[in-house]
Amino acid sequence: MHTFFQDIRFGLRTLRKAPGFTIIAVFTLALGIGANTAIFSIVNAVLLKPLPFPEPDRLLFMTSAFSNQKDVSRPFAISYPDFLDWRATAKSFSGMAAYHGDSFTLTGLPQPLHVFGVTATGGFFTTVGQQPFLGRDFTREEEKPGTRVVVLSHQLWESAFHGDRGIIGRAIAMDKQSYTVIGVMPAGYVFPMEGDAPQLWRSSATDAETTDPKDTPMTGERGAHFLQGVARLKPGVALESARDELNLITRNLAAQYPDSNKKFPSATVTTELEHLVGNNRTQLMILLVSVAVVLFIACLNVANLLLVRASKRNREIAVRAALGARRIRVVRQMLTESLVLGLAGALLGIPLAFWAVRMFISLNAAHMRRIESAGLDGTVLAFTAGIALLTSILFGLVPALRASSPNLTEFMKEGRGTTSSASHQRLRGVLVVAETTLGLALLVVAGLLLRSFHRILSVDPGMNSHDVLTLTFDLPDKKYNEQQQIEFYTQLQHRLENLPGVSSVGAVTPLPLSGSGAIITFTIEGRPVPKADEPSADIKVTTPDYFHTLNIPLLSGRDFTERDDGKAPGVVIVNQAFAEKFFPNENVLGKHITPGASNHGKPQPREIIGVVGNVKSRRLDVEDRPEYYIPDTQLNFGSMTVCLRTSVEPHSIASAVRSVVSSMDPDLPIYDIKTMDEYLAATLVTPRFQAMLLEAFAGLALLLTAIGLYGVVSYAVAQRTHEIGVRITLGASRGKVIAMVLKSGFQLTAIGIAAGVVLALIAGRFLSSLSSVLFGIKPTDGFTFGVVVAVMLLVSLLACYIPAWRASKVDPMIALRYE
Amino acid sequence: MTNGQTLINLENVTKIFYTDEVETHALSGIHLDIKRGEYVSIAGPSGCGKSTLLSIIGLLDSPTDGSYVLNGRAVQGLDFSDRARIRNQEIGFIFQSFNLIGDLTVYENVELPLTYRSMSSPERKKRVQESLEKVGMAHRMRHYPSQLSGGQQQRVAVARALGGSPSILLADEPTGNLDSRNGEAVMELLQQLHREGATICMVTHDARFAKHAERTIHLFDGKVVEETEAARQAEMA
Ligand SMILES: Nc1ncnc2c1ncn2[C@@H]1O[C@H](COP(=O)(O)OP(=O)(O)OP(=O)(O)O)[C@@H](O)[C@H]1O
Ligand SMILES: [Mg+2]
Repeated sequence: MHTFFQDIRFGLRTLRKAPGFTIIAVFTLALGIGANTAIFSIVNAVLLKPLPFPEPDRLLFMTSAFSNQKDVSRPFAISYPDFLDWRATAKSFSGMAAYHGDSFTLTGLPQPLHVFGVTATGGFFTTVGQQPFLGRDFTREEEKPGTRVVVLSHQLWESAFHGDRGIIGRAIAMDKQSYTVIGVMPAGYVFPMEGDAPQLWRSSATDAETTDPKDTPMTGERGAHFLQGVARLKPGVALESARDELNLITRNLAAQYPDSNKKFPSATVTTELEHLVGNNRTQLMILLVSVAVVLFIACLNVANLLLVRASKRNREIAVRAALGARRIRVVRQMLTESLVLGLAGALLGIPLAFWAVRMFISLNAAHMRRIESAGLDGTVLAFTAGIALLTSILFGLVPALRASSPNLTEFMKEGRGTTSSASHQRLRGVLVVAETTLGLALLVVAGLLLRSFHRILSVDPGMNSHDVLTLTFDLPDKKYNEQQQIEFYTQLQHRLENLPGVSSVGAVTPLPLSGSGAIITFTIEGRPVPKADEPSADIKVTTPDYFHTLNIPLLSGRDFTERDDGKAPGVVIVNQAFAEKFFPNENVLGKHITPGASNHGKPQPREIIGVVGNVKSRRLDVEDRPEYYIPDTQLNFGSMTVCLRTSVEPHSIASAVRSVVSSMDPDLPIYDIKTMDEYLAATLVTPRFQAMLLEAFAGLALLLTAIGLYGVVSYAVAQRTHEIGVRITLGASRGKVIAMVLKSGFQLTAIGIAAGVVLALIAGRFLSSLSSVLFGIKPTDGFTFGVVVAVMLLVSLLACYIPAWRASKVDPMIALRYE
Repeated sequence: MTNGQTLINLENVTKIFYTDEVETHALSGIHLDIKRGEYVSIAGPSGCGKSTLLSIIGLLDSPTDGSYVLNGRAVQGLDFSDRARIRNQEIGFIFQSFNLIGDLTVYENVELPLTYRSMSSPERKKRVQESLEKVGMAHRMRHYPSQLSGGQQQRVAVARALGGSPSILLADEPTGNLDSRNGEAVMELLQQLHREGATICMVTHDARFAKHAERTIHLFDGKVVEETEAARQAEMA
């Protein structure tokens, strides 16, 4: 221990004596360690931290899985009857609940309040593992028709009900009905965790009711898939066997109810954590590998610097060795110095990381779940300390081993140690080649992702998203019946059209790029298929003028008009992808399809009256999907989003729009006023985030590589000063000397580039094997490789030019001097 | 041996080094003529300015004042690249510490100055071979300098100086790093080259070697203090 502190003291002293070296080494390490700490803290927050519920590993997410002959199976919402059968049959779970998002309007307060909430089955909170802090969980009894009970979030309880502890058992007014408050959740409770934090939970009784006694309630519709499931694994049961059990039950249901369930032959069961952030794993792993590469390059750089120092210290070490110091002693001394450097790098890296994490979070604008909790906690700091230690060994060991075995006889002979520095020089060249290789591969990967991102940006969304303002509000069913809703939208449309700055108005649900979508099956006239094999496609309900407002081109046929009302014959407009998929080489106009949705009674055939252009409804980076549109006058599909095309800056008319809506119904809270461009931008946040970070890391790698190359070439020039002097004496021109030095640097670069291209090809193959990483670009994209190689050449040219220029200034007199 | 034609003419050459506010007058008012075919040695105590004079003659440095005519051309004001070209074509250097480049073979070392001019590779090969034969080192073409003795290294250095057929060979203490036997051998070689017509200017403070020259210029404190002819040198010895 004593010698260790002695080593540290000596280490600090030697580092102080070489401030230039120390500053560069510590700063290089700080960049590498800081970047790793930052990304790790995000990985930790998003992927690793356990969910804030008891025994989070046993908290599971369940859904159905949709599959037809062509598609691979993909998760799909559950229907009530399927869920109820799962709950009744499955033995692997200690609890199971289903829920769906909902929105409610609270009245009876000073102002109507729109809240996002959840409708859930009995035992919901028990399953999640958190009991209300006042009151109790929903019971299964409360799933029955006629029950009206809610649980409030802590925040809603405080803001709307003044944190009144007597609230339990009291009635509140919601959506024109009276509900009894049975519980208040503790502060910070958020479940479900995707999307906005729910403010209120209501028992699923409303889904067991119908307005028309002839209709089947949702709880009886096996084809109505809109639920998510949460379950708790019984202690001692493996996830695998629970999954098997649920799949078996689901398969039996598919056999028992082929009409509704043939396309849902299996279930998806994952941990809640995997469900929540599984999508981000690939993206974060790419970032983590990239920063690891940056750190590795930083290590190579520092190892390089240490080798220079080692060759300068050869004499000191040779003397120590001659005096009988054992090799291990020398190695330990040098490793202690590395450790001091590594720790200094970590200390400086931590504030850098702190700043970087703040920046990442603000860049990402919370589009990655759980990212906002990223910070420098114990786990992260332990990670930092770990990599500091690891890197110290990584960059310190080879130089230490090298330096600790000086060739003593050579020292006697040469007096200068030129021979061993030649082999140092070779090793340093190898390190620079490795840096170039890694740097180039990282640049290519970053380049490919940047190009993908630009490809996504250049995708035509199929509409003109500029100068469109959208607003969403809820028309409560209890207050507005179908006819009243239609009238409300028609009237609102007319009033909004009269606002100055508004050129046209339409409404739609679900809004493209808003993150929601709906798929409904349909049948094609003259092509009977068993119910289970009916095709399906995305559906949207719109007012006339919606296409016109969003500049979605009408390719053939006609738009909806006000005459296409409930009494008129049923009509439908399809997009081009729909026409091509279901009516290839046919005139689609005049054909009839029967969508599996209607306001009352049996769905009726609808005539296809128009074809519109494809619109990217979900994300820009997916294929065009078949879609069909039905007028709102013929199908009630819930509240619509109103879209206004403006001739002025869209947000500037927001308050005018608000006052038009509240003049029609002061109880209607508008909860989303956003431009279409904002929705579009939101879909780009994640790819942009990834491309930007990778770009930054690749830039860092390039910088470090350039510094490394500069260091090696400068050092070589310094070593060769005498030789260069001789060459100049013999008549080498400046150009010749510069060319000679550039060539020596370029040889390293060229090998590094060649190896880097190979590595990049491997990395690119790997990237393209991951889903939704590369878009519209081949992993062998020639442009990317070309630009990256050119940049690498240019940068290494610059890095070598300074020492080359210095070499050309060597005074030839040097050759005359005798050493 | 001279044909009377002046190869080098220095008039009133002065060299002053300025370092940290200290002026060193390394050369003051040097007049010097060297004729084609002559063998001149420069002698004097350490620090008197011998190497400085040689570096000015060799266009490694330019005089602070005075004029220098080389081969009929005023060269004192030329820029770096012109001087490099003239050095390469007109001047062959032989150094005290040989200054062979360790990473290059004997052949490549001799070829080096030739690669700085546009010369075809067969022509270079021919010249390298010829000059290595002249110094008796052709059999060691593929060796590296570290594999040769000091005397052999210096002979290679002479071959390198000869390869470009320079107008003059400049040697600064060519025997300084050699034992007396090897030193003798190198002097022998220069002697022979001189007989074959080479112009040589050599710095040495060894009187034994100075006597090989036809004329010795004695420097003291940056000034020429005496010139002795070969005949008298022989007499004195
Ligand atoms: N680059 C320089 N800067 C400053 N002073 C210099 C420089 N080169 C030479 N001198 C000085 O000029 C003077 C002449 O030096 P020079 O090297 O020509 O001596 P020398 O006669 O060759 O000596 P030696 O026999 O020891 O080689 C010396 O006083 C030396 O210190
Ligand atoms: Mg000298």
